Amino acid sequence: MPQGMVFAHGIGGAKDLPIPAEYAIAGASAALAVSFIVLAVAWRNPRFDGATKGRPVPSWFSRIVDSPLFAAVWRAVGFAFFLYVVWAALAGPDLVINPVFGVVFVWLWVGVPLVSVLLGPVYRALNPLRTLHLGFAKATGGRPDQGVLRLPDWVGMWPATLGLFAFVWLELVYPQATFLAPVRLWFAVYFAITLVGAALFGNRWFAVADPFEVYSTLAGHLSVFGRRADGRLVTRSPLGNLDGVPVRPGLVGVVAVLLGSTAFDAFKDSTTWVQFIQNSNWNTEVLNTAALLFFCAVVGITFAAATIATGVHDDMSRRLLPDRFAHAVVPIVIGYVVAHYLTFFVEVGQQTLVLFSDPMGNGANLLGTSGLRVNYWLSSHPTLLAVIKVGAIVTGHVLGVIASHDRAIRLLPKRNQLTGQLPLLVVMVFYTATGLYLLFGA
Amino acid sequence: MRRTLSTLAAVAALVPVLLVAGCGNDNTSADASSDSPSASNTPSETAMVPSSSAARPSTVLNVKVQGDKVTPNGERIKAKIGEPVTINVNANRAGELHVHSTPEQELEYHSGKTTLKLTIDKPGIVDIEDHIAEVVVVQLEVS
Repeated sequence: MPQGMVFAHGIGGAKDLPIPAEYAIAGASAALAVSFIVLAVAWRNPRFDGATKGRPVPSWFSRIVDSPLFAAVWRAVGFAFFLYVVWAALAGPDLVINPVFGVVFVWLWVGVPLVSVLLGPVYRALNPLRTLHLGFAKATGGRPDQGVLRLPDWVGMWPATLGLFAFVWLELVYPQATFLAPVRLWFAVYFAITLVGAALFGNRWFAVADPFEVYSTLAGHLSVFGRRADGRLVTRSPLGNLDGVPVRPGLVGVVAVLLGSTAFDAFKDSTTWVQFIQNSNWNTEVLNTAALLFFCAVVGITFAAATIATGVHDDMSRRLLPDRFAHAVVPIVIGYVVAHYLTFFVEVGQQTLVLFSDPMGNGANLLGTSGLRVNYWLSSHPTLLAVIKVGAIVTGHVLGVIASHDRAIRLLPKRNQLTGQLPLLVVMVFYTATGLYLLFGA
Repeated sequence: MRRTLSTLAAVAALVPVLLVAGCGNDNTSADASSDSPSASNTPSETAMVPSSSAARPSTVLNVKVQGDKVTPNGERIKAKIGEPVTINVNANRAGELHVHSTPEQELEYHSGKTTLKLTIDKPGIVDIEDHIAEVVVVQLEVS
């Protein structure tokens, strides 16, 4: 049983070994080669169209998934889970044996996006705040999709960008993140902003401002389940599905925070950074905040610059390009997340399941999971783990390159289609090489 | 749609080929410098303590504590799975080392000289922190 785990160091014990240098080099060479192969031999007419393409699912399947009962069941599951976790957060012990920390930092933050990659936007179906909003609307005789104000278009997904940054700051920078009071405060503010926003602007606020729903929905675009513009539930290739990510202002900010923060998390454990922080007279939190911001800003700025550096049709503004290409970073984000958090997810995730039956820390076994033991098979096989990590990063890179290629030939004038993609290809290789370097050097 | 998938499959099939090719090239050049095939040229070979297991039976780590100043300062040191690491602490105050292994371990030391033994039974990077100074003393690279 886990015990004696009261430490100011986040949750989770040992971290993964660095991958062997030759794996990192092989992965980076593969990414580089595949990038140029895609550029040279891939199709010259756009293939993907999230609005119209996809094979409709069998009618019995869509009847179940689109039925009000199906929605109600998942809302109920999400809400029951929410009440249980809130109970643990308010009445449970302020120790790392409280399952709240694992639920928030492992299940919600890492698990939900990974499940979404398999099943589609699951958090939208479970989101307890959507249920609360629905309840308020019903109680006041309003309609949940109607707010009292219209959200200006330029706001786009910037609220989610800020929310995601606030969460990664809590997880990666704030030193007391494994104590209940700060986690409760963070979530209280998040509940307030999300519910007030939903009351003001209606249901659509969740899709642009709730960081967990936004992340899950983006990851869900890598599943085989999607919806066409006419609302039909279809199955299609992950790349075809990815094309259906709605383009909104600020999408580039969302992917920049997701990718930059994952890279920062790997960097912050490197001896270079640890020694620099410990030798410096500056406040650790200030330095870590600056570094986290720097990583996110580097991703956002390099990506925006690379997408803008192309010729465009006369009637198109270059400023729109970063958000139109930003969906291509989603597979790279998921590749990074698998590479950096797989052991953490599998092992601390299991530990959370063990703790989940005893939210008050009094030896209870409410859900029958207390007796389970954590299986450490994965971290005992570092070679397999290294292969999975390199494979995940390279796969994410290849999918990202193909997605941006297809978008480039749809958006750019013929003469700029190849040259216009080059800067983007270069930054994607840069993200991938950095990701691999961090796996081997940090 | 079908052609998209077949192109993807072709690209996906290329990746492992390239990976293997990349590995092959690298191995031939790396042969001379390293005799063990895995995880031997990590960047931080700047261990303060000789970590070549041929010369010594186990890793020895010398820690000096003066108030809030602790040396070494976050260096990475190699250790072997299941083999004890000896930690010689020379301190001017009592304190505690937190070992972020799975599960966590705590080692207490007193003012003066203390010799501690630590064994890690799973591969990974294990941070050893001084609880009072709140600094990472070393990162043990256990493999």
